[in-house]
Amino acid sequence: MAEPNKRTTSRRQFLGSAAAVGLGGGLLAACSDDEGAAPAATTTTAAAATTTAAPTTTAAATTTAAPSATSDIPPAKVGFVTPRTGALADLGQTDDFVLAQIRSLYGDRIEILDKDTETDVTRAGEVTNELIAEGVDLVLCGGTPDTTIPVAATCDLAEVPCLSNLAPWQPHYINIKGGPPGPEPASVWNHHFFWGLEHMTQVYLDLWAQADVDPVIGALWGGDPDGQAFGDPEVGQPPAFEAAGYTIIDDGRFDLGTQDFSAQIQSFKDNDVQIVTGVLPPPVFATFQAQALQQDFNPPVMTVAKGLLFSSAVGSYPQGAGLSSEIWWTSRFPTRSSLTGETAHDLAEAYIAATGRNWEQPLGYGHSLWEVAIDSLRRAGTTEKAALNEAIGQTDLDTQVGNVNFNAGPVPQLSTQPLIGGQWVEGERFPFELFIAVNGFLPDHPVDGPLQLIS
Amino acid sequence: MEWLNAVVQGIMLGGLFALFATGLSLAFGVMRFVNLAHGDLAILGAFVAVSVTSALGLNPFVSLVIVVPVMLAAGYGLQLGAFNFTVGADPLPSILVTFGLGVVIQNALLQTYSADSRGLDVGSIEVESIAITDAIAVGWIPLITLAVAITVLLGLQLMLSRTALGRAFRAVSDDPATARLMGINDRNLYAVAMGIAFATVAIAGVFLGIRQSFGPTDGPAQLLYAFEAVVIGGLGSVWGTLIGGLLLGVAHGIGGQVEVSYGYGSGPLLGHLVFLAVLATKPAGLLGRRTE
Repeated sequence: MAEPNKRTTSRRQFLGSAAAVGLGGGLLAACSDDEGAAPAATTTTAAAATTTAAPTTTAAATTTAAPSATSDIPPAKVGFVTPRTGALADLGQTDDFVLAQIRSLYGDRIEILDKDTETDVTRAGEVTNELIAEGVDLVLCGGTPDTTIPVAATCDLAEVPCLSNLAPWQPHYINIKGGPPGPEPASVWNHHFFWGLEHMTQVYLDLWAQADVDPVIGALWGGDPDGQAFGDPEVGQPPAFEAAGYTIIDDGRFDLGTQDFSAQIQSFKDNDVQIVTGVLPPPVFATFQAQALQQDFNPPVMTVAKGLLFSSAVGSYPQGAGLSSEIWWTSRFPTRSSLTGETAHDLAEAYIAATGRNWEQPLGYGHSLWEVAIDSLRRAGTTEKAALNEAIGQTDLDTQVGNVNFNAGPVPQLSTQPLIGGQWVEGERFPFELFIAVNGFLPDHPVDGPLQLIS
Repeated sequence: MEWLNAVVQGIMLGGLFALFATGLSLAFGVMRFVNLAHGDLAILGAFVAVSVTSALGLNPFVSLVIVVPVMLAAGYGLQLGAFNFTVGADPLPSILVTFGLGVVIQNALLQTYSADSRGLDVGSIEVESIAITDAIAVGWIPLITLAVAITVLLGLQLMLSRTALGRAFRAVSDDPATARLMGINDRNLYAVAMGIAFATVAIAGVFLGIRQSFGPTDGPAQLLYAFEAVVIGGLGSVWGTLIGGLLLGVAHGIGGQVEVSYGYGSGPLLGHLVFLAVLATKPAGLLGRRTE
């Protein structure tokens, strides 16, 4: 019954398929015409970055003693590896802006080789190898342990300095070193700056202490590495929560692909859960929240890691207002850039002006990677790798994400940065804005008030 | 009672699975065409709805009036311009082409819409439900999804069994060479079938977008469930698709309850097990025609 099909591809057939692909592309473009903001934003990024950077570039050109003068920086090739597409692309969404700004400031001295991991652990290692083959002097990376671990491990093998952030330090450290935290660095060639699970647990407890509710927690820790780590009865969050007097309703590690949470919701309702916590990617949290509301379960406090970091994701939930989370960086951080002198507020405004989108938390961390890199290059005065690595190790710099000092952390070559906490509220300028409730690790950050219960 | 709730919620979820599986089942039934871009097409449909709703200020349900014809035309055009060259005894070309199409769609969506999670907002109905008993409440959105799935499949079944077009579909499915001798333009017919498949997957995508948030790379996960529903129900069988979707949904619901009650197992896991069990005992699916 199979029809005799010609297997040889004629030129006509080939052209036909090519035309069809072209048609598909045209269709996609047509569908997205009204969303022209995105491509337009990309094209304007460079221009706007130039505008904001204008004062400093001028200063550099006239060789005044501005801190951003480029003449004392050795010409260097720097690799930059972050997830720009795929499931982790949210974490890399501010990078185009950051790179445009750095290129406009230091393009004469620093050649940036930019790589996308495509949210793939294997590819992260591969692109790092490509960078090393192209002769980079330094590699910068960030965006969850799935990025920092393969990049740092590859750099370690090739003995190339590597700076990383945007990954809680424990999973980063433990996986590179292959053992629990100790008196040795994770790797000789890697320096890392971010916060750790201990900061996050403390921020959660501080948030909940402000809420006048029964101390019953419903936990949504999934079966992925994050969920396993957070929910681990010995090294995860449960011991700290229990010590603080909370009862934990934990129905086990579920598959993150699950589309039905009715069993967990029923169990939370039966146990009168007042606080829901967990670590959930945005689509999973959205599924849970919609079902919970349909089943008439609306707890007064929902504090969730991972899924509530980005205003863009919060806007897609059935009920975004009131959701609380850990917060790594805001436009109100009491910090200044060591490169441009911009405050956190200036940086955020420049981003909004350039992209038309609200600022997101990776902006400060992306910028700070370059602050530490350029400061280290300047102090090293050379791109000789051992000397550069040594200079990175001596960093003591006030950056957009606070003071970075690799000799003051809980393990060597690690700097822990301040973490605060708060919740999303409906904003005036953008649909959702951050309301800060907890600033224990950064007392200079303004607090908007105590945690508000979800009604 | 919680077990009954698990089954009820599972049936609701099954409606969405069945809706997803419809287009896949139709394309396979009519032309033995395996579409690996099916999940990505659903996400594409949801993103088209995002554009339509934001540009025209329409309710996502109303946006279907525009999204469905757009996707139908896209399916028709793609089949005529590309997929028809891969239809034949060997399933590999279609798999390769649609795999590539899936990659193209994902990256085109990333370029145009960025990696942000989106949702389709239909207002307060999203979180409203009907209380059946004290312990069981059925959300309006899942209920509407199930009703739409049944309507779409019923319509498809009536079309296949009662209309001239349906007779032609069945004819080319059984024996394309003889159908051609009888004056049926099978290439054009394939394009119509793909257009209908795209239209149904666009509906599924919009309902997915209303139910949960979605991003450009969420397609492949949806493809897996659609495939399972089709295989469980029987390749190319309309009612089998519905039954496969519902069975898969119930397996997810019960699996979730097993996990909460006994501390192990999970919804998708039980779904995969049901899929494997059907594949092992009835490879043609519960209502499938015996394949050659």
